[in-house]
Amino acid sequence: MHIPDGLISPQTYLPAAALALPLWAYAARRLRGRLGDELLPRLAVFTALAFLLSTLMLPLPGGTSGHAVGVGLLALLFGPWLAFLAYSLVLLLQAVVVGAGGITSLPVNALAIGLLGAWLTVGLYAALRRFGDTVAVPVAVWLAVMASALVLALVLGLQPSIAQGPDGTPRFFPFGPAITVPALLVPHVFIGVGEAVLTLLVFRHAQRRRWVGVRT
Amino acid sequence: MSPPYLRSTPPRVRATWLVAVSALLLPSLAHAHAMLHEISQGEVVLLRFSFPGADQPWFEPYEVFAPGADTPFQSGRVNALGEVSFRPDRAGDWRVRVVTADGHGTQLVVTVDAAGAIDSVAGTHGHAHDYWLRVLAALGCLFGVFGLWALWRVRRAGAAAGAGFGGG
Repeated sequence: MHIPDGLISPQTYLPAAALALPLWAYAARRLRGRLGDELLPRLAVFTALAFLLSTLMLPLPGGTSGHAVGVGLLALLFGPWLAFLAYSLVLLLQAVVVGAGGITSLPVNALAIGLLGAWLTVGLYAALRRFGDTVAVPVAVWLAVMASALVLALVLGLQPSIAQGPDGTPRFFPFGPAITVPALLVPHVFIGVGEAVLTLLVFRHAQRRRWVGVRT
Repeated sequence: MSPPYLRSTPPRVRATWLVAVSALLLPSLAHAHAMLHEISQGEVVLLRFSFPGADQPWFEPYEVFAPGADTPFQSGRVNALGEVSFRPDRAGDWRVRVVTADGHGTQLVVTVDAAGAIDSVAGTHGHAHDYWLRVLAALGCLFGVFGLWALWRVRRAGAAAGAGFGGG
């Protein structure tokens, strides 16, 4: 889902960076306050799991493929701020080591997937918890995945209007929202279902092990 | 008023001349709308694109920018083999951008020498065949970061305990 370098304009990624930097600093301060000897290795393992999920390409109907996100699981286990920080590390490693995503697009990806995805998962889970975890976890994760995909589709789709060359041609990304929204949302309907089921299974295991401690 | 040499020419002969000249000119006018071709030899840059896994960006749009240019030198769609080819007409850094509607894409800088041969290729995405090696390397980095963090915490806790022991 994450956007690579070169597809979004400075008018987009510079304000996103200005917004993300203080949020990263705030999340890091919260992490310092919560960090314990048990939390650190557990956070490392689940961050690695989220990283692996974001690298496994799943074949989808229509001949395309996509990958899971994993931020919902991080959010349910560690809370939205830690999930935002951990997923930003995942995105950074994806960009720097794997070559997927990008540095200039990192703030946009971190805000849309890491921050929005984490907060929506936790918020929706809290709102739906009375229906039981079997309903609350998958619905929260699925809706969060779709919301992140929608935001990124709109960010991409607005690029032709934001940045144009002297002759009016798009400088960074050629497709408008009429194309990007279905192009991102339709595959993520299926990706979200897979991620929702996987998150529920791991979440139940984490509950049995008493690893779950959602805090905002 | 017609010139004297035309006044002496019978109308039938004039008409015959007119038809003959038209017959000579019309094919050349028609030729202006023909698409001609010739086969030329030259260094061609051929790039193959792929996603992690087996998929390729078949028929996705691409643009090629000449060194220093903002408008495309060439644009089109990736072929059925996932390839883009172009023939640079000058040395320098050529930018090749492939994007998909769902926000995947890459931008490469192909440095071409004076002979038209590829000097180097730089881009955010490397070779497809070492993708999993890079995933493993990133996992190593991730655990390394957390490991160093844990080590720093242990050392700091040890130092604090040592200071407390010495002071108390």
